Amino acid sequence: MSAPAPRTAPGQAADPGPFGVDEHVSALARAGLIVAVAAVALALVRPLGGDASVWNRVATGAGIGAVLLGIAGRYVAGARGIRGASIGQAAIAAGALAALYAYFDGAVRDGTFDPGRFWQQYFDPDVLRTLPGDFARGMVNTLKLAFLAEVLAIGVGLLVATFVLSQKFYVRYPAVGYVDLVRGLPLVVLTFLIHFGLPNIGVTFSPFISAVVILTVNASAYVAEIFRAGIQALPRGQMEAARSLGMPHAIAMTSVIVPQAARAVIPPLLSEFIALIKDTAIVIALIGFTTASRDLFGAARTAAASTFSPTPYMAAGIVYLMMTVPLSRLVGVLERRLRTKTA
Amino acid sequence: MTTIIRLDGLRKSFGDLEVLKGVDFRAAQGEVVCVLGPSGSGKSTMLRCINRLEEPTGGHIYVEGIDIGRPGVDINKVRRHVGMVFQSFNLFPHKTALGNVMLALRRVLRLSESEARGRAMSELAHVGLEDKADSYPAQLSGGQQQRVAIARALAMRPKVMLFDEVTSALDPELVTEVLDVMTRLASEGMTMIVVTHEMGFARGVATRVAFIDDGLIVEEGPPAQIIDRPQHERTRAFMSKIL
Repeated sequence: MSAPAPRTAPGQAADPGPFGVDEHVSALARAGLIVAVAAVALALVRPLGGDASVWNRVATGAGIGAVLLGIAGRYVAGARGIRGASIGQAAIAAGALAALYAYFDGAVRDGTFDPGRFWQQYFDPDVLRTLPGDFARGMVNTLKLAFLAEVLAIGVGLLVATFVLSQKFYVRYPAVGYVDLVRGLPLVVLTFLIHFGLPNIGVTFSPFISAVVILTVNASAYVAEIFRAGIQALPRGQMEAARSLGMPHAIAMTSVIVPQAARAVIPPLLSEFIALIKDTAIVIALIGFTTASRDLFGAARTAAASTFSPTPYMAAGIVYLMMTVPLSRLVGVLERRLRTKTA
Repeated sequence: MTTIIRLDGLRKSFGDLEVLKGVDFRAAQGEVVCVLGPSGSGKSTMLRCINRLEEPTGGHIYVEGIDIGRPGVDINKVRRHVGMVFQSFNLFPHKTALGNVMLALRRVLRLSESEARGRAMSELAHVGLEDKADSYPAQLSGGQQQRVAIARALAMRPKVMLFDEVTSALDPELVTEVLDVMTRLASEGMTMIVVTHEMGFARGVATRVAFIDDGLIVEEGPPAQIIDRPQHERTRAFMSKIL
């Protein structure tokens, strides 16, 4: 692992390198890199022969030490405005790799960790083969629920946001109260209040409708805050310019304020959709599911129960990641585009 | 000469801070009144009260003889006759120059698409920007944006135009193009109330100058008199600092 040499401006004194004495480079970061290199050496070479598990333990400790030193070095370099951030980063990466390798090598050697068994349990091909059909139906249900709740939450949330922004206290206070209440409650509590509470006063929903209602109520509070922030982030002059042209408040909102806020609001709304995809699993797990109504996680639970294998959970996790990670990247792209194009 | 704007004992407080302390003011048809004064004197607040972007706390405002503070007056109708241009342009960034000028024509005056487009294009031509009709505000210089803002206000065919330090946010080399448009507007007989620090414009274009300080109009009269031979101590102190 080669250390990135700190850059030196032309005309500056000769670069003493990462191991030389240079007070403009964080000493902590440098020490971290030295320890990291030692950890890598220990893990790979085990210089003195003898009991490998001892060397592995030492290397694991050294690797963790290098990570901590690297983190401290990076922090100090940043705080004092000196070089060493990239050295610290190298120490973190090298130390972490050495520690992980040494730890798992040790675990394999003393028999506490069996990679073959791990693969066999978590990626059992016989179980994997049974999953696609049920998982596809589960995924459709997950996306259907999340999408329906998102659309409904955008409607409810926009309404609540306009109430929150109202000048009239008797409109504003209830809306603020709704947002505080819903955002302040754990999703589990909300689920029990709506799905298991409402039947006691004679309101019974099917599990699907229940899930939609719970997810919508939950998301609407966050969506309301997204809209409120998006509208309030606009310069005051936009509303004033619209009103000075004789536009009534409602027309100024619909033709000047909301169209501008809508663009700023797309990335956070997409983030909320990601959260909904994940929340769907919690809500469905809590209220129960039938073969027809189960979501992706429900399908995984059913499969796990009949095969006694954690493979369906692993597979479900990967499918969730395949949905959420690309969406997260998309959020990042849209945010960057908003920042650069303020036209 | 008919009076377009009349302020009677106009007062405005923000909390405990009294910004306007009983302003009496008139502007007649075709007048160009430059309002001068130190920062914090209340000149912008006075302007913003005239179309009730600020709600006055006392006194009366008459636009074409109508007391616009009276209950039952539709302030949105009043604002159609009172154009305003802001220091920070406040163009709508999601609309092109043409879209900015057309928006209120469509949504407030309810003109047809082609009628609104025609009127907007002629107003853009009026400020020399017909070739920028399809540009977005971010693609225009500050001076061009401010000219679009003037065209947007003019398109409503206002009876009076309010200018609130419209060149203060501009780079020096862009000030002239905006002042030129305003000078032309004045020569066409538009009634204008101009809060400004541009003494050259006040001297050359204003029919009258009002000096405001500490929430009151201290002195008003022809530009030569107020700028070059001010009677009041406070006016003199201000002019000696700014000239």
